[in-house]
Amino acid sequence: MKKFWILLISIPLLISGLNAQDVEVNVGDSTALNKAKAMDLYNTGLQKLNSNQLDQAIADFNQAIELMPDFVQAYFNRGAAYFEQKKYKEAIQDYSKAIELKPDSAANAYFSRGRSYQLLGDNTSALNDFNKAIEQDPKNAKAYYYKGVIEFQNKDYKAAEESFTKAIEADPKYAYAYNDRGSARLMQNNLEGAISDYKKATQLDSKMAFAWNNLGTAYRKMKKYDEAIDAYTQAVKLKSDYYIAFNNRGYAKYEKGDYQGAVDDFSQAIRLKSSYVYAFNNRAAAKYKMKDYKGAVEDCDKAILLDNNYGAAYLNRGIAKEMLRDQSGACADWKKAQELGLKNAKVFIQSSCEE
Amino acid sequence: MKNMLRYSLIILFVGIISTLKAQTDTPFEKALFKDRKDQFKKAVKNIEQGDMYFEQGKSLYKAALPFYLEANEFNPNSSELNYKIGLCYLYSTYKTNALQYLLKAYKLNPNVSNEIHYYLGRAYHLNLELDKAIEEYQKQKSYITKDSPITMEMIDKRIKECNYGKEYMANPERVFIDNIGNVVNTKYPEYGAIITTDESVMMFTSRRPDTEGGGMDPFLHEYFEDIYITTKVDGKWTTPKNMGKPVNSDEHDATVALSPDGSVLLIYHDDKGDGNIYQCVLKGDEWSKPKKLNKTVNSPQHESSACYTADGKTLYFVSSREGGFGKHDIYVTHWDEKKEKWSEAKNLGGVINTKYNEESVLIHPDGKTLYFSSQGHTSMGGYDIFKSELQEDGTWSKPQNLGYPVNSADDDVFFVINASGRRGYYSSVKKDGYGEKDIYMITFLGPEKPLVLNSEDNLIASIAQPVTEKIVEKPVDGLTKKITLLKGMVREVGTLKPIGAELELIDVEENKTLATFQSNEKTGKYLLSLPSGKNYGLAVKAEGYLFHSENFNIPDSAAYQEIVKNIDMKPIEVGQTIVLKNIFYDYNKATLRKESINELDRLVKLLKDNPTIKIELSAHTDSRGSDAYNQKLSQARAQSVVDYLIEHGISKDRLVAKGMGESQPIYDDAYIAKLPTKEEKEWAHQQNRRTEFKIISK
Repeated sequence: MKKFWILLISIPLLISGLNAQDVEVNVGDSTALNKAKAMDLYNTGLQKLNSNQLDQAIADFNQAIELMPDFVQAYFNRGAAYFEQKKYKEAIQDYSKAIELKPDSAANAYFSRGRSYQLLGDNTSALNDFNKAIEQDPKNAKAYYYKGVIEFQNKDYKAAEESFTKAIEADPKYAYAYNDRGSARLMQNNLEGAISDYKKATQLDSKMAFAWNNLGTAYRKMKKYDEAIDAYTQAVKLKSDYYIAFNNRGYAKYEKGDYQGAVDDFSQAIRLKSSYVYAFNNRAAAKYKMKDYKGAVEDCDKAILLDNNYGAAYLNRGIAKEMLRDQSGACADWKKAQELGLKNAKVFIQSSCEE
Repeated sequence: MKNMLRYSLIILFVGIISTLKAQTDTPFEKALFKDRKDQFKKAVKNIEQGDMYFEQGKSLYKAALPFYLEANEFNPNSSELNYKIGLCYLYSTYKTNALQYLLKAYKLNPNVSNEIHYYLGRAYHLNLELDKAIEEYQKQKSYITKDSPITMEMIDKRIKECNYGKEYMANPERVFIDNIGNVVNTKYPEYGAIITTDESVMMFTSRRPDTEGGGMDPFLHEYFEDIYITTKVDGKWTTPKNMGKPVNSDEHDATVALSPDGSVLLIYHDDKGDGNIYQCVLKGDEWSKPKKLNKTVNSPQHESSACYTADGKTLYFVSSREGGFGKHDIYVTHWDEKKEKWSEAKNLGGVINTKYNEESVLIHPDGKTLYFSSQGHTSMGGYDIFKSELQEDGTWSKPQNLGYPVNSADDDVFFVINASGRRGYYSSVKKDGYGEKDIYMITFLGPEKPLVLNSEDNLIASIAQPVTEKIVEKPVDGLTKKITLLKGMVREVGTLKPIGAELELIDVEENKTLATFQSNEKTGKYLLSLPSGKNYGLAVKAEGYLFHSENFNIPDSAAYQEIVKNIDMKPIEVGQTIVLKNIFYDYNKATLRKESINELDRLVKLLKDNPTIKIELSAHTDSRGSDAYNQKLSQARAQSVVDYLIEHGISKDRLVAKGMGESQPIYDDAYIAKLPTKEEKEWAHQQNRRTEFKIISK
């Protein structure tokens, strides 16, 4: 009896954390020859997978599976190749087969299938799989993390925060998990907690521009505008085309009362993304504060041209039109804003529009 | 070259001389004007004439002004004359002109007067240069002796005003102030605008050549005051007309107040300094002769302003009678239903009245917001406009200054506001005016409307798609008054002939009459103000017609609204039906609720007044519930009404009770199903649940 040790080279994200696995083969048997052949094919397939020759890798895995229909690793890695090709349905089939063949130690197959479901938009199945992966491998940081992501998207921020915490416990250097837990806390209005998480994320990965951006937003919500502006500035230093952070820095400057600074940042966001509807709307607000009511109306016009269901732009345009003495125009805009769900529009109509 | 130098020197020399001359105080002395004898004589004469008015006191300063100005043209460098011109301006229409003359007077001679710093302070104050004003007022303090006309108290009051002014100007009110245009405003003074609460009619005081009797003030050369009227057509004021006799007399006639519906006009007659309030009533298209208000209001002292509440049962007025806090105070009197007379006038108390003067009182049709002008409280100068609310416990809230730029350093009086509270009117002298005082409209924008900004963040590290921040709108307060304006015409059904009817406004829950109004017999027009927070019944009665009832339940939360409701009256004829909108039953029962009594009693009265008519009373349910149940319920309800009528002395054989169940809806189920909102559906069901009566024989 001879044992072939097959070492799986870790493929980033997909099968990292997967330990060396063994396949038992009895030499001398007629099937044993097939198995040995399958093993060779599997190994070349794996090399091709690692060098991103996905079609060729899949061809090798196909042959290996033909020779050895219960070859768990071949299914798993063919699934990984499909996954890389974004062929998630095929990947799910292979991961399912791997699970079927070895249901008791299928944490990675469950996790990978979960990711495939997640990317297909089937969050319910994905969550199921992440839970199974965690059941079999309670230290699976990534399974916790992606579970948290789904909970976050389902707006269950408390559950998300718990999942991210578990991910961090399993992997204390998991920068993404810190960032996302910060966001879960932000959504629960735990601003102090959010700030500490975002800070930790930037410490673990100082190049993570979006963590700086998010940190800025947590500060902005805390009304600590100077800190917010500093954090957004870090974000745009790391990523000079980060229009979201420019828009946010403009927002912080607006709240601080620096309307010219705000206009400059919103303009920069627009230069980076000419269809950036929020930046047009926000610049309109800043221009209004500078008493440039005409400019404000023009920016709202642009925002509405980009998205004619953008309630805030109607609301703001109405406010600017009122100052330009166009009351009927203002009231028409507020009516539209009210239809689009802006609550204050009703109050404006009641207090400033003729019946 | 040599010549040029010489010329330059000459020019320089002349320049120095004239500069020196410009800074030298040059009194009107013969010796100084030897070369211009004739003009000098004329100038001196002008000064003498000016002095004649000037010496008679501030009210004639304005008359002195043209003479002084002419003399000043001849010699602009007399400190004394500049000082006098400054003073004249301070007490005339164009007060802000005073500053340049006073500054010049001071420059020519810093000792031109012991009060120069005070008046410089006044001029800066009126020009809203408040820091400089405070500085001058402070300087004046060292000139105070026990005999000086300017006292420490006066100065401290002025400094206080400046400080309030600085505060208001740092946080100006959000208003638009617009001249209402040259159809109404002219080169003559217009002021004292009063309006119906729906702003369809405006009256004001003006001094124009077409004044009744053509009288003119012999000193000021201003025509006597008369009252003018303008109406709004298609959103624009029409050319004002002199109201003529009997409202205007050959003397001064000035506006005081107008009832919300424009049918009762209060005016002011000077009565040789006594100052009294008179009342004119509109009947059809004719105004009654002004009638002096009774002695509760008009005392031997000066009464200058008055205003009825919308129900006509309370009168606020301004009087200088003894026992007040200051000279002019605000008083109130109530109509006593039982004694059928006005209660003894009561001073509004120290929250409203100050040791200074209060003027121009106005009670909003909501019945609880009092607007008035005061020289006290937190005025930023002269009279400022304040408002105060009558609170639940009957006390007045601390008066609140309407702020800058509604108020200025000058006198701000004669303020009126419309029913919604969005627009007001007052008079002012401004640069964009058409001459003298003009009427301006103030549009109140309320607190700044918060704009909405949007942001998004990359909240989830592993997903590129940013998450948009949820919009959190800052809470805002509505500006407008919680009041419903109900207006329209009372007409005969079919012919649409206007009817002068009596409109009785009822508090349904309390079962009491709140007020009665008349529609105009010529136009049929009526206007009622209904403050939010009551269930109102309206009964419209006119002789020869069936009464008409309406119900308006206006919850406390209801915002300002205007309802136009024309009421078509039905003559008393066989076959006519009337819906009794103020009859209410217990839920799913036939028991009449006590809120119905008012309406039922009106029905009793109708039957007693018309002893021959026989009626059928029918009750209707909505379509919800089984047919049989609804039939039974409606029969029992109709019988309840009939029983009530019998109990109150109506013969049984004149009455037929009929339960209609759900058989005759006003709106059928198919119609209701199509209505878009739940509220509208409920409204339609409510219209179907009703009690009607029909005349079956006459």
